[in-house]
Amino acid sequence: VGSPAGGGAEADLVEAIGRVASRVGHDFNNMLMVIRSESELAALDVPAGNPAHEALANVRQAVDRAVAFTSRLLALNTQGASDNGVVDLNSVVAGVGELVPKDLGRISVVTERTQGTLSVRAGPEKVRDVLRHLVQNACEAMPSGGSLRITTSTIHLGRTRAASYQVAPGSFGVLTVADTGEGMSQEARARLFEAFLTTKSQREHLGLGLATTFAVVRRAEGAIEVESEPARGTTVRVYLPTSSEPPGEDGRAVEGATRAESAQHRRL
Amino acid sequence: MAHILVIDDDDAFLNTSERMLHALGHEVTIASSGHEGLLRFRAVSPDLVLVDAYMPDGDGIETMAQLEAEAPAIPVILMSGGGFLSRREVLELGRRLGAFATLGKPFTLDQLREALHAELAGAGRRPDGPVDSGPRPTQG
Repeated sequence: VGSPAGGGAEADLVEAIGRVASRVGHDFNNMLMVIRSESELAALDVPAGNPAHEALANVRQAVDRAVAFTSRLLALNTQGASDNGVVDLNSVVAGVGELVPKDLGRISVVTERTQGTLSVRAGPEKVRDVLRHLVQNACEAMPSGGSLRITTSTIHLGRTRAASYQVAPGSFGVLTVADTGEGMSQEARARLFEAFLTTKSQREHLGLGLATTFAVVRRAEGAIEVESEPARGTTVRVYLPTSSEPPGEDGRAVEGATRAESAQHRRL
Repeated sequence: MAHILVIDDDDAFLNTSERMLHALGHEVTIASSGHEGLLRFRAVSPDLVLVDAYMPDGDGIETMAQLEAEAPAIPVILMSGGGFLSRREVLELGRRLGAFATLGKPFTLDQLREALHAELAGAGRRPDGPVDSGPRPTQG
């Protein structure tokens, strides 16, 4: 059964998580600074050929990963230039090949787009991040293989439905990512945000993808709908307000910083 | 060798930055708040100031503006590890308000060396395009 997400209490929770993340991210950067710099300084005092060099290099590598993670934490609560813009949802979906994991195993991918361009008001790189996170989640839900379907469409949300999504009525571009994976029970669906905090603790991305997705979509004044049943798969629909403006230069007119961040995401 | 004043409310960071600057051959004075930083600045007349953007007692931007008013020629490098504004926004604000350069935390010894070198080499004149080192944010 589909239900809007990212509005009301969930939006408040995302904002609260964002505020905590912001504080934690800031403090973490100070701690990481100490760990990385002290390992650099210690390496200066270790004679060449000493195995401690490798140990210190390992520490610095781990710090680099932590720095990438912290950047993503900070991104949850910060609105910057990369949140703004107009992007063609169809071109994002057309480029999904760059976003999906290289080894998909027995997962087939089908994309279906509306004709022409589908301009929505959101940062191009952010929308790519959203699609990347959703695809990653979908693939993880299909460990034994399955079908991943990515589609775009448009919809007009009238007053009543828009109110239930806590968005302004109007025209929306819809990005749908559907998998045939494990799905979620209603209980699990209700605890999507707890998952951000408590599950996947052994995985590198720590469930941040979903929280990032909600944060990005809320900042774009859009909404998310999640439909899921155990053993039948999950469908996530992301609604983003359409724009009459043409998309930016292939939707890729992003600053260097954003490109760097994107590269970190790919590594994760 | 130069005399560097570091202003940051994080004691562990202060300790590490002091060791980094010593490793680079500089004399160091540390201060753990904006207020203390201004007092130390007047007392030791450093060649360059490193100041953190987020501090509870008179934040870094405010401290930087006061330093700028007192000694406009002293190079100031603004540091930020992110917070409620994105790291990029803070650093850009700092540049507009007169920071000579910016460093995003966590920065490496090499990045610190380069930033100091660039600023100390041009001490007394404001560069047209400030140096920006360290990792770029996420919006962070």
